[in-house]
Amino acid sequence: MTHVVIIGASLTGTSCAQQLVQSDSDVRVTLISDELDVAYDRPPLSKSLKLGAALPRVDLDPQAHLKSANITVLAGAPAKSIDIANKKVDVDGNLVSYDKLVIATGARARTLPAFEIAGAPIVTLRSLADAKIIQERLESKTAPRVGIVGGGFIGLELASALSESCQVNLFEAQANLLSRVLPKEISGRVADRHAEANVSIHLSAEIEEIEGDSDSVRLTLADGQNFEFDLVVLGVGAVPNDEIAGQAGLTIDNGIAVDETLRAKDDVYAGGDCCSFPLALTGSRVRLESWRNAQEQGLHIANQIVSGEHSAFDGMPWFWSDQYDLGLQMAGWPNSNSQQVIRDMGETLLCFELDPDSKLSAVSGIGPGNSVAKDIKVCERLMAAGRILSAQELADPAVKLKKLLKG
Amino acid sequence: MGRWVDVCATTEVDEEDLISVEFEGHDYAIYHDEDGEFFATDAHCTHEKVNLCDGFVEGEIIECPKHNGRFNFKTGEGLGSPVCIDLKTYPCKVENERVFIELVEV
Ligand SMILES: Cc1cc2nc3c(=O)[nH]c(=O)nc-3n(C[C@H](O)[C@H](O)[C@H](O)COP(=O)(O)OP(=O)(O)OC[C@H]3O[C@@H](n4cnc5c(N)ncnc54)[C@H](O)[C@@H]3O)c2cc1C
Ligand code: FES
Repeated sequence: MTHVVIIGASLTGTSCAQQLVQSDSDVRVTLISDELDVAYDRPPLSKSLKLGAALPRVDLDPQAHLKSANITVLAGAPAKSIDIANKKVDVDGNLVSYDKLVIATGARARTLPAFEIAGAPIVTLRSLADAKIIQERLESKTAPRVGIVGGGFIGLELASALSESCQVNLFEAQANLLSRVLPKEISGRVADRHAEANVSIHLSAEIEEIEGDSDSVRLTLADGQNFEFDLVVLGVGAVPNDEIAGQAGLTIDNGIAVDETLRAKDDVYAGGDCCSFPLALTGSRVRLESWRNAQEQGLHIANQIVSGEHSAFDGMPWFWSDQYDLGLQMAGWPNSNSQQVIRDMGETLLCFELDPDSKLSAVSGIGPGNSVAKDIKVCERLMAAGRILSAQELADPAVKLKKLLKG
Repeated sequence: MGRWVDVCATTEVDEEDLISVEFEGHDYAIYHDEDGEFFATDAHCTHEKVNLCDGFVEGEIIECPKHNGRFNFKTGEGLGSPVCIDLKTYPCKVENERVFIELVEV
């Protein structure tokens, strides 16, 4: 019987464990988590956090596969170190031997030294425990004032979720929201929607001074504006949890470096937010923080362990975000010298990144609900097939994208 | 015996596509496959209840717009993670350019 030890019981670890026990009766799994609550989904934490309502806990294991006889879940148990030569993991002082190791330790929210003020209500949002702290703090105030530092997806989603019950100010250092990942045409619509909901977005914001005590946090901007908040949430990105892997001698390169099969070493795999891997589409090494990537990499690792055969991971980068009634989706990986082509269909808008060789390298879209999903999926297939496309056809809403796929 | 309910016109559903229709407070997905045949299932994904009408139809597969869960819409079979529950299907027929689905009272 093969014993698979998985470190991290979030999306990557859970999907790997579920696939293992469903497809092979001859495997035993130990799933280790430093969090007490395991197998819950993170995206709802920023999208659906409401005051006076239940915490948005979505179960990643509704069918209770993790209760199978051949899985042991160790919750609230941090893996302290890995001994690769002897195939053992130190779990809070107990040595656990493995035949195969899966590192799915994910990422943690980045913090900023200037915001480390003991006792002040300054937090990040990564876990259900964080969401609970945010909710309880804001529920204790009558007209809660929230400052969100960082205009990334998590900060913007949280602003949209809290906009009905709180006064929200959001600070972004860049001149545009999401400027590294989205074209202005799309981020402009995001900004407009926030303005409509009375969320104050401060672009090119330079925070000069931060002061805080247990009661409130005061921010001063370089232009002299002052703010006082009951809670400040930092949304300034995430860093991979790769320390125990690095100490075990595994290569670290923007996360745990794995090969195209997601192996860091013989019998050691890493997947999800904690790892960097060569992207099948471009060959470049990337680390993704994306739901679908984590889920698919967990499955891919499990399938290789069950079959005993190695194969390259060829997932397509894909990401979504929901803010208010708007849904955003992105797929592919933009090339630095691609040309932007916009298809404006009124309520929905798509932006294509067309390479010099007339192939699509990435696409992003925005529209009500999931309205861009179909077009984004067609684009994924256009990219996977390497179709030659013309900017005119892509820009023309009268040309059905599905038709371009059929050639 | 169930009752046959008129849910839409055949022209409302593009080939290789689907729409969502509501009847007595329940949403149904109506599919038009590339051979011109029509099929019906529950409209909501069994994973997190997202309406499948914004999903992508390819052959006999519907892919959910949210987490890309996949089902065979002819049989309702869920095709792997994150989907672990099959989709309910309904008998479907076309008469005089109208699509009918059969509902069984329970
Ligand atoms: C608020 C929020 C909203 C998001 N929204 C979206 C979205 O809309 N769309 C999208 O595509 N993606 C979204 N994501 C990203 C997505 O949730 C992540 O990509 C996904 O959770 C990654 O899964 P993972 O299992 O690799 O890592 P994680 O979810 O980070 O889980 C890693 C787990 O390992 C544990 N761990 C770490 N070190 C140890 C150790 N030494 N011992 C034991 N356990 C350990 C951690 O505590 C954690 O429980 C969002 C993320 C957050 C936080
Ligand atoms: S809601 Fe359909 S796959 Fe998640």
